[in-house]
Amino acid sequence: MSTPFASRKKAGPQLAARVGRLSLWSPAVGIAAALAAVLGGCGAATAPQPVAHKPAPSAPAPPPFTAAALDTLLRREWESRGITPAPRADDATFLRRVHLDIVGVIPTADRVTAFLADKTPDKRARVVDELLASKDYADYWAARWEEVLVGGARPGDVDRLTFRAWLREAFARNAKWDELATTLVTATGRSSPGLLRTATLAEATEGLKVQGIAPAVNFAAKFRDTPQDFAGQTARIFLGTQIQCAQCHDHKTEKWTQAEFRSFSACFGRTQLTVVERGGGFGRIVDARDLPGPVPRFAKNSEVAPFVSTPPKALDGTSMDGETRAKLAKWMVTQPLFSRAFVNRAWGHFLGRGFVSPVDDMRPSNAAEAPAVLEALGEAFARSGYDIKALVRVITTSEVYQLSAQLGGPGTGPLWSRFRVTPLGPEELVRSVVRATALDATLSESGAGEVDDLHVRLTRLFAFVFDVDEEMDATRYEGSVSQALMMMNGRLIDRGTAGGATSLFAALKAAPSDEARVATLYLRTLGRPPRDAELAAGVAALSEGSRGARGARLATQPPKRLPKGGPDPLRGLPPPRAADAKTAAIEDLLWALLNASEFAFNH
Amino acid sequence: MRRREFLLSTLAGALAAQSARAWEGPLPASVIVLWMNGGPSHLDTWDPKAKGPTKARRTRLAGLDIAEDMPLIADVADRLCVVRSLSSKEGNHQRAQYVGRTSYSPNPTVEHPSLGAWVAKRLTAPDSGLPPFVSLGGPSLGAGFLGAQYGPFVIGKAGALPDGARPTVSDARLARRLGLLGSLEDGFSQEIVTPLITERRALYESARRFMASDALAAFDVSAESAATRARYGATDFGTACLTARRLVERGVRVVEVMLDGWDTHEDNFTRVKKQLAILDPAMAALVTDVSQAKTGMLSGTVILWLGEFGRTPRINGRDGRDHHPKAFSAVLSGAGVAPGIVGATDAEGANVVGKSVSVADLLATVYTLVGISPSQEFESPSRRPIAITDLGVPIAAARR
Repeated sequence: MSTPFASRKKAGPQLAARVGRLSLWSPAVGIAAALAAVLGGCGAATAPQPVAHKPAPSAPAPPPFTAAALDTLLRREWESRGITPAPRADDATFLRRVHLDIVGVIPTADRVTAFLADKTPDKRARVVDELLASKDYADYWAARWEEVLVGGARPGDVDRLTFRAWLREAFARNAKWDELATTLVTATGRSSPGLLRTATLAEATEGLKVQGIAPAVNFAAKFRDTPQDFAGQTARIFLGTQIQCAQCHDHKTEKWTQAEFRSFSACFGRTQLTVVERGGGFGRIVDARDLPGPVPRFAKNSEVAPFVSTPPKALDGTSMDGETRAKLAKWMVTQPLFSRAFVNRAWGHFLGRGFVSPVDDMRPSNAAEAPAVLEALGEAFARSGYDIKALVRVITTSEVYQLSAQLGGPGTGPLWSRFRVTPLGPEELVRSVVRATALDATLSESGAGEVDDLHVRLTRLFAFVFDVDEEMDATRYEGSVSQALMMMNGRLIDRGTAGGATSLFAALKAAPSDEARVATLYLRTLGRPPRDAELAAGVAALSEGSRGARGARLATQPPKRLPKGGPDPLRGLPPPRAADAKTAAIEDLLWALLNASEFAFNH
Repeated sequence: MRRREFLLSTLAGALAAQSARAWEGPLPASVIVLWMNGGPSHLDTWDPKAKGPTKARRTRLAGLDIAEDMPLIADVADRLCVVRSLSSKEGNHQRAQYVGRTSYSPNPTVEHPSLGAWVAKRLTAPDSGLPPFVSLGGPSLGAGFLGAQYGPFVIGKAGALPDGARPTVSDARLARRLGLLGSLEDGFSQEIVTPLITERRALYESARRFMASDALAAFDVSAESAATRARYGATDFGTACLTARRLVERGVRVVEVMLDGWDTHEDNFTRVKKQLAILDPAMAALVTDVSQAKTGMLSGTVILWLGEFGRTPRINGRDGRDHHPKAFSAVLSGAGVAPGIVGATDAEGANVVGKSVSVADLLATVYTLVGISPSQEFESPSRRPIAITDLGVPIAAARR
């Protein structure tokens, strides 16, 4: 155990005071210690172990980390700073929040009603389990991770359908994060069975069975010519660390040196990614193969050569010669930063802001808030064997997650002492509009296609306009006029609110009274019953409609740019037509509810 | 149109009043960026070499020879300032595109606002209902820490009304919808106090004003004569350049028009020829129209032609040229620009001879031309003072 972390030992005494708090870092310590503090700083300062999370054989097993333990840690932080947390969120708010965060879509009206009627004390924990076991969980986490892993890829570079199908399968069986990360970083073989542009997710899932297919290769596929970017993305996504700035120059005090970056990217310079089939199908098929030395094509290219020609090393200087990527993955998944990076990203997802923000920029001078909690959660995640569902369960059943977003009194807000309001991303927004308006049921009845694919295609349409940076916490509303226009006049909303088009309206028509109609609309969109004043206003609006507001509709054109890779997702719907006055009034209320901030935010 | 504006304005709150003052600034200043995506070969456009494969042609500007496939531009070259001594360190598309838009190298801790966003923020836009910053044909780059309200209004394909610009229901129903929405927003913002809701409401108000704006007609080039449309060329880029002119005339402060397809690693010469066939009429027409404008917003317009980097003098095995940030060209034209040639490269076109110009210097020149100080500092969200450009010094020779 002497070689791998030799550089850390030199820094031992200075380091002792610094590990444990990512924020305490002085440039005087030097790069070696900085590396060590970031990579190894997990408590054991003087005798660091390369496999930091495996307890020594004689040590007693620590107690399992629970939501209560998490709450105790945070409460300690609040008390030391005199922070009063907000009160607990009400049931309807919790149900909507936990749906949006675990399955990426608002609850159905029936689920809301049942949950509010349920008087058992453990109903919140049970709904978490129910959601984690659902198909929607795998769908949503696959979608989110597809975005993180291959989000910037050009269409054609990556077979996103196959990649998503594979991720979906992995999240469904609760694949452990170290296993998933290792597969993504080391995959070899063909990236895709060769799908047509019109393939569905079901077909892609079937395609996974094709012999010799390695869907994880899609993560690497866009780095055919840029091993240095493969390296940078790997460090950013799996270790939460931005090293790519060192690609071009040494950075002042806290960043990686160019030499360090080059040795690290050399680990990826021996992987040859060859296009074995281009065009025709959904995208290129790429074959990944590891060579014993630098890929000749890279070595010959003057732009790339510097990043592949040095001996491959991990970020702490450990030699990775030999089975390079396999060794690197093994090294990576045992780093404290590996579990912290995941935990931090998950925290940012559920609590609106990571311990470190942006979630993928963990470094000594970007201080973590409540670093003790980050460390404890990271260790717990590693100890659980990187069990993703277990982590989600701990976070979402904790009291801190269940706090209200309302002001609870003076001093509330910092350190997650009230819930941070965040805007829904394109994925959540599309799924929620589709569910609220019953477009999914309507479209599958009309035989227009699979609901799975509807989500994928609509999201693609939305994602361009709603290009939000999900890695950042939202301190301001990153909206644009285009987004507002899409929500006000876009086809998804137009079709979803059109009286003649969805099965929702048949149900609303059949409802016994305007009171019932208004209540249904609120439950479907905002996930709660209307308050008295809202009910009265809603009923007034519907009856005013009966007195004859015109139900005219203007012609709408199909969008000029349809999402690539499939036909118009809404093609199965009958065109909206002029509605009778009552239907028009319902349409207008539904439109207002879908455009409301209460709908657009997770709160 | 008037009726809709009237109906909707009765619903508008204080926000409308706030933005209701008309534009009366001292300087009718605006910027049109022609963004050449992919990194155009300087050697086959503005800086052809005697020994190189691209033939040069004389232009109306004494001493300036440019690629022969730009005959119309050559005819208006006496209104151009060609910068041949641009130099940068970023040879990666994404990073170099970031530099071209912001003057800064990407840095994970700060999202720098783009030139478009700074211009949108610093110059008050006339009250036309149009967004201050429009991007035609490309995603462009956002407003970074300035916030999305200064980011580009993106239109993928120019020529007609943008998607969603018109309501799908009658004026009366839209008014009812906005009324219902207003009370929902009031209720929610009483319950939860966060600037996010206020900002979102302001955005909806801008969208409402946009939908009702008479100036929306600017997006529809069919109002232009067939002769004018022909001058700009029957291409998406030509249409976008004409749209840019129409938008600026109606008060849009900054328009970025993208021409993609310059990443010529393969088949450089055929592809550049194609690109120039698109660029030549569009840019020549735009330069002409801007230079002939005597009054109004168009008369104060600065045109900037720029891509992320140049291409290597060496021709690779696929008859292409690779990335070359060490020496490349950019072009300025319009209000306050002094025609001429700035700097030079060596006989190969590989290196700048003498003093080089940074992308920050180039953008600083543009900012100065429209009356914005390029060294003015603002505080980023992490409380760091950030100057509008990364130490950019305006090119003296480029200004009249």
